[in-house]
Amino acid sequence: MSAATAKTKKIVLRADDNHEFEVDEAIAMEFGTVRTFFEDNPDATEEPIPLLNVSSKCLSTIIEYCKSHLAFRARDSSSSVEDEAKAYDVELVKALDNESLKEMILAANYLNMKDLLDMLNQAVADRIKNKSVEYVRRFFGIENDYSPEEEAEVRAQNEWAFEGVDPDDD
Amino acid sequence: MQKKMSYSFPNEVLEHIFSFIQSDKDRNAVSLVCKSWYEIERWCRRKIFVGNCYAVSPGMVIRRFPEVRSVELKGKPHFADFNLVPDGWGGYVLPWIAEMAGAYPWLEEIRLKRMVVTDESLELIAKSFKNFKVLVLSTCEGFSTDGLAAIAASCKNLRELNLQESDVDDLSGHWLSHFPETYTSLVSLNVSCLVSDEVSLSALERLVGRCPNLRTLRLNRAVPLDKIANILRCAPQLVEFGTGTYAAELRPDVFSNVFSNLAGAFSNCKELRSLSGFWDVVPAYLPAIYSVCSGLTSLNLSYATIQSPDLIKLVSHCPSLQRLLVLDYIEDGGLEALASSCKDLQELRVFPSDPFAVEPNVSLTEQGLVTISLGCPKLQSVLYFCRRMSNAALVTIAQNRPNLTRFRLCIIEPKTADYLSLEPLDVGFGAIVEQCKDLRRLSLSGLLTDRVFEYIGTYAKKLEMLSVAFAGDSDLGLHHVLSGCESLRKLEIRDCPFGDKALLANAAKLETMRSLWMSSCSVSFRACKLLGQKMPRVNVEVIEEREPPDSRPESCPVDKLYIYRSVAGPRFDMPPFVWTMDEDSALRLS
Repeated sequence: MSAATAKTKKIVLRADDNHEFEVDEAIAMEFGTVRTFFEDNPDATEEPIPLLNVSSKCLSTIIEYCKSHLAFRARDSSSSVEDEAKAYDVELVKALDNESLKEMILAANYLNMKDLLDMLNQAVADRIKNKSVEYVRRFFGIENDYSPEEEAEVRAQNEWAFEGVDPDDD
Repeated sequence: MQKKMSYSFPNEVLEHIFSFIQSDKDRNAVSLVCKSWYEIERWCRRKIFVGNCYAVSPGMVIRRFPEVRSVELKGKPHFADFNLVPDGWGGYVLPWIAEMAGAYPWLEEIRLKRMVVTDESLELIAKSFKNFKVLVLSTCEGFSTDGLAAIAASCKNLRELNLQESDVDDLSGHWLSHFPETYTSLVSLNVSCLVSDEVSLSALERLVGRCPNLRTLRLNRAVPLDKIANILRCAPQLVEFGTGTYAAELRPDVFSNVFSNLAGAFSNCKELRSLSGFWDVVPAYLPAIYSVCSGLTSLNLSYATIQSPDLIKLVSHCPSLQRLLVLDYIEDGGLEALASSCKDLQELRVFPSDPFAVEPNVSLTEQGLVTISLGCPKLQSVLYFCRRMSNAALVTIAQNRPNLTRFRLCIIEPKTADYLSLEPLDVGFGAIVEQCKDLRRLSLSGLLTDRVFEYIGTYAKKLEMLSVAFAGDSDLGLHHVLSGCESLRKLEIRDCPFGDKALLANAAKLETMRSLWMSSCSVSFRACKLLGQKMPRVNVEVIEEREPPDSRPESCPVDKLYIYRSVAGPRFDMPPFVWTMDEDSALRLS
């Protein structure tokens, strides 16, 4: 392979609706599962990589995320660049509604992308902090499988035994 | 049409999400979402806080949360600080340590408040937890420096040892030498409560010198002033420092030596933000700290028996002060100086220098507090001992400082009326609760009728803890509080004419609160039994030191009553003078 082709080597990623995305190798290697796949199959560079559980919408957002973070890292590791990267993440998350955020988390988990997953999990944690139990159930689409008696028992234990740190009140 | 998928989050993803959720309230909510979430959450909860050690048993805690790294427990009720809880009442930590020793080999932190800790418990901690890092014993008792020696000798990863106001049997200063020469991880040491005259200065200096991460060091009174400079030179990185006795000779040859040494050492400590100690202050030595004063955010002068002019000089050097604890020697004049110098003040505590003096020994009145309330826009927390108050002053304070969250006023003589109008102080405290909408903590004093409780019940919707003494006329007062204060968690009452009616009518409220203490009130033994029967999940404990409550007619009022909700049922470690009113007691004791 000539130096020219090595430099601009592209990899094709295929989303679950068969939409294909051509990206630089560097970007594709940010995807943990893709990197592992190539480590196990070093010659399989021509075929599109099927990402079965990732929608096009998610995939395109994740590709943008990788492009941006690669660019940040290429610049330097100063704190101002770090701040910019953080600000980018904040904007990215802000633009995600609850459903999209959840979708992205599952995608990042499937793709084994640690930094992205950290960031998204922190974001979803922030969205359910200080919310009622009912809100959290609705957010995740989870059915309550406690019986009323069981729930009352857990509630009592939570509130009476593990109620939360006192502000310093002497 | 948006496709809404049913998401099945893998357990490890959920666990990862939960790792970003630290508050108990949020973790509790997570545990209630569904049973599988309860399971995942309980395995990854690392920190628990139990506000009343009798509200749950160690076994229940361990069964639910098998991987805890940090435990905080509170024992005796707050009024124990005023000697209202007899010795032997309870609050023993040993059963907890014994069970955790087996269940939590990786436990790192134990924080206890108002508990009885023994040397045996300390030795067990030292032996059982290989990665032990933090021990905080706040207002605890029952142990000696021998127990501390065991901790020092064994806990190689200890970061923090804090004995905050505990009652320690200080047998010898040598316990400090039990920290091995290889031990270097100390970050915080508070031994200010140790009372022996002996202190192993060389061991202390060596310890301080070899612990580069030491941030907090609070010494006890026995450490002489002329040794402080050496200690500070070993730890210029200190952020919080408590001196020992702040007195040394005034003979010119001694003074100039000690002073310049001390001043030089302090000036090296560029990170210093908090100072305390200052026993036996000789004012001439105070300027030695001036070089650090501009950066000080916290100053504890509650042992400093210096007069107003010296206090004024000192605080005027501290423009960044956020927290000040001081004796009433500061007087109204000093508080005026404080108000003009310290615009960032958030917390003020003024303690009485001579609470038993019949006539005021200092010129500290309600005026000082009014001036502070006007001059310090960030003031949130107040503890103020004084001898006179007026409704007008309280109303002014309330209007000046609606951002108060903690307000404890202690007019020294019980039932003292408004000194101007001779009226009760109902209206004044009423203004406080009405204006200060985020008030969480309130202590009342002075002459008060049922009226003040009506105000409290009406306005104090965020109030979590209320202390009442020598106030009110009838059960109506108690009823207002129990029925109106939605956020109430702790209520402590002494010497008030509150009886059966309000308590029985508001029995259900007791399950929504952590605890209720009533002493020298008018609650009958019969009502206690009834309450115990009516509310099986609430422990009703009667404390009678003189004679058993059933040796008298059941209409007789009980001496002390402590009521708290619990998922563990009645306790079994009660001393002979504590009777629990459980469901069967009405049958057993009649």
